[in-house]
Order: sequence, then C-alpha cells, then structure tokens
Amino acid sequence: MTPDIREDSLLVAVLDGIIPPTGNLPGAGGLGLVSELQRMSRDHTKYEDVVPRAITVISRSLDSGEPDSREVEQAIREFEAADPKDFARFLEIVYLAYYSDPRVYDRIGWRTGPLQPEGHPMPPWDESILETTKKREPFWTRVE
Amino acid sequence: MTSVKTREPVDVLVMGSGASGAAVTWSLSAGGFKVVCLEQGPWVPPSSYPTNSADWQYLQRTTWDYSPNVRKLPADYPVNDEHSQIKVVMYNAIGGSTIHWTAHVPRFHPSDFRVKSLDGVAEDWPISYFDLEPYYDLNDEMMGCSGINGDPANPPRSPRQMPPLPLGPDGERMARAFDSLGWHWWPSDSHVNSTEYRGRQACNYCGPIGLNCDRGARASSDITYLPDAIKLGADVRPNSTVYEITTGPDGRATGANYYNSKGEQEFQPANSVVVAGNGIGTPRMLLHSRSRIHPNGLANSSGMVGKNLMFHVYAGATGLFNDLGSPTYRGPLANIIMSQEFYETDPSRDFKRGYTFQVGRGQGPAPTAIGNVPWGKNHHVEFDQRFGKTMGLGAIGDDLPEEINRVELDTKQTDRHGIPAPKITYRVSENSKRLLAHGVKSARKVLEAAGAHRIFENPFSTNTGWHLMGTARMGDDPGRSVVDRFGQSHDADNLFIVDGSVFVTGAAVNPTPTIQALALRTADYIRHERMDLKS
Ligand SMILES: Cc1cc2nc3c(=O)[nH]c(=O)nc-3n(C[C@H](O)[C@H](O)[C@H](O)COP(=O)(O)OP(=O)(O)OC[C@H]3O[C@@H](n4cnc5c(N)ncnc54)[C@H](O)[C@@H]3O)c2cc1C
Repeated sequence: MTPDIREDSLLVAVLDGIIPPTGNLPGAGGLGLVSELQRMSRDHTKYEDVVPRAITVISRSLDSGEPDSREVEQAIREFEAADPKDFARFLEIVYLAYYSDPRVYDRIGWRTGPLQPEGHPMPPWDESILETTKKREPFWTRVE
Repeated sequence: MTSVKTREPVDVLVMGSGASGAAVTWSLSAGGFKVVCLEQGPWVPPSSYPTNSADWQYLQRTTWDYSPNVRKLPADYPVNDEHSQIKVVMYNAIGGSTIHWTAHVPRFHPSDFRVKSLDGVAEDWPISYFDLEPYYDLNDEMMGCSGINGDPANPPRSPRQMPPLPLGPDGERMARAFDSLGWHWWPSDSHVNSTEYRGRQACNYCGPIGLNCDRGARASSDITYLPDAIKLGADVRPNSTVYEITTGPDGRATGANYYNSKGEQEFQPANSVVVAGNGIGTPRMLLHSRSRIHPNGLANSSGMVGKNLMFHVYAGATGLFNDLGSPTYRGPLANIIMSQEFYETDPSRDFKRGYTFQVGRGQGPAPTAIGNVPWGKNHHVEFDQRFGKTMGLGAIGDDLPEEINRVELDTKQTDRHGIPAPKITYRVSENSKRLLAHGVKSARKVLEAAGAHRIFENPFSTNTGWHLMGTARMGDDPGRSVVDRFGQSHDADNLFIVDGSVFVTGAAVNPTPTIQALALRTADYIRHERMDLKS
C-alpha cells in the first residue's frame, strides 16, 4: 500500500529547498503539491514510497525543532551523497509534480493541457537549405 | 494435469507483431498463406496515448516508460540487465517497439555488409545492400517515408512518399553549422508523415514522437501493416504469450504452445514458424524451447543463439542557445537532420567503422529538468537557460559483435507465466570507446559552429538499449550462424527468424528499416520458394 505523505513543515521546507520560490511564484513547498505527489506515488509502483522515505532519511540528519533553510539544504545534500539512486527518484517525482503545475507553466510559457490536438506551427520545408550539402560528390564506399 | 486446447492448424505462425512480425504477417497473408500472429501484448487504444493527457510527462516515466522493468505492465517480461553497461528498452504490445519508436529511418550503407572484407572486423553478411534495396523501398511504401533523394553519403534511391519534415529555425541552424565545417548533413528520412498518407494525417509537430498521436502521423506497425494484414485474412491474437516453439521427432517446427488472453494454455499447430520477438525476446524463446533433438535450445546447434548481442553505442553533446528564434520543443524530437561525415572507416582514425550524428531538439518542462537541472538555489536560472533552448547531437556508433555480449535465460527472474526472464551480459568494446570519444569531440565542434554558448558533453549513454541485434545471426556457415541468408534456421527448414537477431553487424544507423526489409525478403522467399508450407 502507498504510504500517506504528510504535509508538515519539514516536507514544505525540503520541497522549497529543492525548488525555491522565484518571482511571485512560491517554491515547490509553498505551491501545495502534496496531493499531486500523493497521486503520483499511488498510481505507479515506481514512486510508491519515495517521498516518505526521503523525508525520513532527511529528518535523521536534522536536530529536533524547526531547522533553518541552510540546515535543510545540508540534510538534502547528505541524502543525495548517501543514496544517489533513491535521491534521483525523489528529485524526479518532485520535478514531475512541480513541472506539471499550471502556475509553473504560466511562468515558463508552456501551454497547459495535452500535447494534442493543437501541436505547434512550423514553417514549411524549404529546399534551398540543401544548396551547399548537395554539391558534395557521393562519398559512400562502393562495394557489391 | 492442465489440458492444452489445440487450435485449427495454419500455414504460418508468427511470434511477435512488432516491426518485423507485422511485415511478415502482411506479406504472407497477401501471398495467400493462412497466418496466425501471436502477440503477448494488447492492442494499444489511441485513447490511452499520452499525447491526449495533460499528465503526459508522468505517463512517459511510468506506464509509457521505455523500460519494461519500470513499466511493469502485464505483457512486460522483466529483463535482468544488471550486468549490462547498456540498459534494455522495448515495448510489448501489438505493434511491438514501434509503439514507442522515433521513426528515424536511415538505411545501412553497402559497406556495412562487407566489414570483414573492407576493414578486417567481425563478419561479412551473406547478402548485400542491393539484395535488400527493393524491400527497403516496399517498406517505405507501407510505412510512408518523408525525406528527399540526393544524399551524397548514400546510394541513390527511389523518391520518398512525402517531402522531408520541415527543419525549423533550430534545424536549419544546425544544418548551417555542418555546412560551415564542410561536413556532411542531410534531412532525416522519417516514417513520420509530412503530408497526409494513406488515411493517416500529417504530423502537427507537438514534439515527442514516441508518445503517439490520434492523427496516426508516425507510422507504427499496428496502424500500417497489421490492419492491411487483417483485411487479407490474418488472425492477429493479442495477449497471447508463446512459451515454447514445438518441434516434431524430425526436429522441424510444429507450432507453438502459448498462454491465451485468459491465461489458458493452447497449442497452435502450423506448417512453419516465424520468430519475430526482437533481439532479446527471440533468443529467449529459442533457448526456452529445448527438446531432445534440440537440447541447447531451438536452432542452436552452432551455440550462437543469444551470442553477439549488439545495441549501438551512444554519446554526444547538448548545446544551449540564446538566439534560435523559436523554442526548440516545437517540432519532432529527433527527426530533423543526420550527418554521416564519420560513417565509413578512415585509417587515420583510431577506430574501425564509424557513427551517424542524429540531431535532437529540446523537450517539455519536466524532461528538461529531470537529469539535467540541479536542485537548489540555481535551479531556476539553470532551467531558464535550457528550456526551449537546447539542441543535441547524438552519435550512434557501430557496435561490432562480440560473443561475450549475450542473452541467456535468467535462473531466478520470470515473467507472470513463470517463463524465465532474459539475462543480459554486455560490455562496451575498446573500439566503441574510441569511436565515441571522437563523436563527442566532433559534436562539440558542430555546436560551437552553431553558436551554442554552453556545451555539455555526454561521453556515454546507458539507457539507450533500443536497438536489439545480432543474437541469432545469419550466415552461410551453419557452425557459426543460426539462420541462412533468407532467415531460415540451419537446423529446421520450416523455422524462420526475421527480427534484428539475424543482424551480422549493426551498422551505425537506427536499424528498423533494415529489420523490416529483411522480414519482407524472408516473406518473399517463403511465398516464392516454400510453397510446400502452404496447405
Ligand atoms: C524508445 C524507442 C525509440 C526507437 N526509435 C527508433 C528509431 O528512431 N529508428 C529505428 O530504426 N528504430 C527505433 N527503435 C527501435 C525499433 O522500435 C525496433 O528496432 C523495432 O521495433 C524492432 O522490431 P522487431 O519486430 O524486431 O521487435 P519489436 O518491435 O520489439 O516487436 C517484438 C514483439 O514480439 C513480442 N513478443 C516477444 N516475445 C513474445 C512471446 N514469447 N510471445 C508473444 N509475443 C512475443 C513482443 O511483445 C513485441 O511486441 C526505437 C525503439 C524504442 C524503444
């Protein structure tokens, strides 16, 4: 069973440490991504317990009480160094949740919604670009 | 004891419905053969394509991941690639790995069939480029090819069905960079529609080709060969997993035992069997089909089944640009241009054979960030420098065969039916390492010439085992090869292999047009020379 992800101050601080606020946009912690992280963890075994495990490991490097952002950053670094594979998976799900958020799309200029059916316009194929390359003599090796 | 139901006999049983299995199924059905195609995966409904979902980035990393070990869908068998420096990727469904492919379709060069004679490495093929040429052409017609004739790096060829896909300002920038160095480039041949073709719409350039679209703009065998094959009478059975190719007392194939969609065991008798399970799935099934007459696995009297695994080796570089005019995530991901400046052997270089450059675009937000953008204080600056502003060059290197690179049956892992998983052993050769080092240096030069302000080198890619080749190679010598020049087993004259397993060498291009051309050639051989297999 997928364990629950608790939206506590440590989780928010860790997520903000991973992707900090920028301009008017809160960091990954302040955006309120917990329900999205929970869904992503539940929908595929790949991410099943990635977030709670990460938070448990990170919390072990911290004293009790409210850690400041420098301490959180240091604890994240320790996790990254100790277990690069687990850390990469944690980073992946955080990036996925953050970069699926419409408020983030607004900031970076990405269209919300599915890729289809809109696609993107492109200028048509223009053969004049071949002018130089097509002048070259054939250079493939001739064999029977 | 479980009772095994026996189905009506057929002329040909095809295992696998991917690029090669679908082509054979179509051609033999067109030739009037009664064909059953058994495929372990399901039909993939267009409604499930990730491009229809706002959640496509998540799907791309889970149920649509390239790796069966990540996806873990019911049709996927695990692949033990712990001892492989390159990780295996594939798709198991009607359409096989063409459900996922990028459809970049260059052809082998004539020299690729003669590497022993020309360069003293590996083996020559028992056939030539020109033996395959008509089948390359037929395959282009079936799949629909966008491209243009006149490439000086390749022999002249028939006109493509559609003009090239547009290069876009980013692609043109790269083309000019190659021009400025005096290096070859040419628009990619792609099985992606630049105009409407046979009822499938033109590409609308949404980006990641491998996630499919309702437009059917990118060809895959489930929407090209198979609908035509079914119209011609082929019986394509999804969710049907072959666990044994059966043989008679004379050692010839008699059909296959398989699990049907309800998980029940059935026997499908056939006059002949065509194996098209890809370069991993095929040796797996041959090795698993042991019998008294074939104690080391079917078609394996040479001991070559599973040996000589080739993947293609990949390396390259990515450049960051400030001035490309339009975001680089607009347009087909890697169907732009290719360069074969360093394709053929050059004695002045410290490696044999060579590589193709394939140019790639930037991607959507999450794929841009994952694996590339650091976390923490600099995250946004680094992301903004990359997003929509990267162009990449991948060097696809000729991966010469070595017997130690191999597929075996795993002694522990199995699929859901208890069939042993394949175990892969693969290490990158010294020749490949030198070739890739050259590729990285050259990629940097191109990106510099194109005006990149930052360049990241990628000395070696690991998750790129998408070209599966060599594990049941063809040859004239039954002691050193598994099948003959027509894909017919040396050990059983009614058993054929048509996927990338039969490759003698891998060349330095994406392999699928060659796989499909070989499959069509084998089918043609059966149609014309093996009428005895028709009831
Ligand atoms: C992400 C990705 C990108 C790619 N891009 C390109 C590209 O741009 N250009 C290119 O040339 N190639 C590309 N390829 C490779 C291309 O997809 C393969 O070369 C091609 O599909 C191989 O065809 P095949 O018929 O040998 O095997 P597949 O297409 O893999 O089909 C094999 C089928 O056999 C079935 N099967 C296996 N075992 C059994 C069994 N026991 N019972 C029943 N069924 C079985 C499998 O389920 C599968 O559907 C790409 C592949 C991937 C994964």
